[in-house]
Amino acid sequence: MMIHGEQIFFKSETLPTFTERGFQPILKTFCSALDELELQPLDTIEGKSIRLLRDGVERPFFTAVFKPYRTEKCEKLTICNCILMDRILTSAVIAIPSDDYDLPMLVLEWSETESVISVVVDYVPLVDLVMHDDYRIHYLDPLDHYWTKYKELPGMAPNRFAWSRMMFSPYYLSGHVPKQDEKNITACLQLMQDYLALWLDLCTKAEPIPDDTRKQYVRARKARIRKIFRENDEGAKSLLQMVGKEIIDVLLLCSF
Amino acid sequence: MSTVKFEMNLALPVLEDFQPLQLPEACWKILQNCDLEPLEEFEGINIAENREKVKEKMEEMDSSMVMHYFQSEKIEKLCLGWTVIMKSIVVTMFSGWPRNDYDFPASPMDLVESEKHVYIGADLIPLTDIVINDWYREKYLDGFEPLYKQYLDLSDPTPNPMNWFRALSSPYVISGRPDVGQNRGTVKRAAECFTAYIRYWMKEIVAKAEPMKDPAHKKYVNRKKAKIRDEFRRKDPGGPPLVMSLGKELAWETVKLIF
Repeated sequence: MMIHGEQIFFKSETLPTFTERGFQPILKTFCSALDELELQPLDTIEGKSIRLLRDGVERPFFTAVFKPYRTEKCEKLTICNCILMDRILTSAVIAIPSDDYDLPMLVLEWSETESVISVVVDYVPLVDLVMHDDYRIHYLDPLDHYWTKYKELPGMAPNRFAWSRMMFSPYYLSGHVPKQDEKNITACLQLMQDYLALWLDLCTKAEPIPDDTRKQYVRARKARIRKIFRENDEGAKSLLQMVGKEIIDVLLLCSF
Repeated sequence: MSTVKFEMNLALPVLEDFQPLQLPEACWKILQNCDLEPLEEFEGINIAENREKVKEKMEEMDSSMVMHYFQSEKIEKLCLGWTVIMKSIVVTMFSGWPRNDYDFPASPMDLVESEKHVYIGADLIPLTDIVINDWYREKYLDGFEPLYKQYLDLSDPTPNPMNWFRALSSPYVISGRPDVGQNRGTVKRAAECFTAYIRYWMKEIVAKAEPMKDPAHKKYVNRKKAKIRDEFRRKDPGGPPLVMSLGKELAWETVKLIF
């Protein structure tokens, strides 16, 4: 990864950082962690071309790039960076494991204005945690240290939406963190970095699901989770009027 | 099952440090006309004998505990009662569990009140995988959303520190330690919230429940209920103080009755 001017050259792709507008180098944080992965760019998802967002789109009040990749253990790992109305930077990494693996889905979302950084971070479990406490112990409890460290950040609060709370893990964090204090900004960047690094480590160690029954269950649950995200994603809903259905359909395909 | 009308004395004693809310009585007012029958035995534990042993032990510790257990056509066990610890902390407990033919959410809750602090834990815990079965959430839980939002400020901004608790919670859990507030106003709101959960559970959830028909669903629900119960029995933070007061064996017996 190289930073050149205000752009990042990442896996032979050029991504705008928007740091020149006073936003935090969140994209650099994400890309640094992903730099070592073998990423294969995707051009189509579910039979549909996603070039509209892959190559970057510019509309009045909306500039965005969505880069979905395939990795050895993920059917899709997407990094995105958008700027809305020149005022809001949104950046995210979302990773969905392939059907052979049951590791949790990674969701890291960053939304920044002049005064606030809104964050959502989670490892969305692909099983019912009450019935599979071994899953929680293996994939989620390693987050405890980070969750404990960041849960007291100012502005942290339960997520507003029941549809997301029902899917999220015991280690999700969300909130609107004020930027007045430099310490808060650093902590938000570090939070993203820590959740991403640990997930990548779990991904490296993940073994294929050994039995077909569990595989089928995980696949069904993963499909439900993606459907719920696609139907309810608040960012997509609020952008629909501004950018139109064509872009939103591709955005949701790239993300979930 | 016949309907038995009976009087219930759940009045809390007068305390020196503060005047606790008569929350157990308020809860009973919601339940008293709900066709409940006293439960006499559960998992081989004789409830009258347990009550006597607990009373004796609690008195030795300058504490007291009054627990009542009920059942109904759909409810396997409903527990309502209170504990006064060292004459300074009042714990109101409620827990409701469906019979094995029903899949409605379980509702173990408590409200802890002292002179300076209040804690509320209230939830409607799903007995199925609500990510897969969205009908369950729609049928039993989503109607609660307006009440949840009304009382969400009672929840801590930071989630409950117990990971096992967060793992089994519904999207509508309230868990928090708010300040008692001016004139103990927040304690009163917490008590209102507590009774709102009970009222909703009884009047909207239990009332709507029908016996399960799908054997696979039934098997899952009963396994999950057993797991949830086991988590509360082994990990609820009320356990260790109970062991100190009652000794290990009697505490375990009592925890099995509560959850």
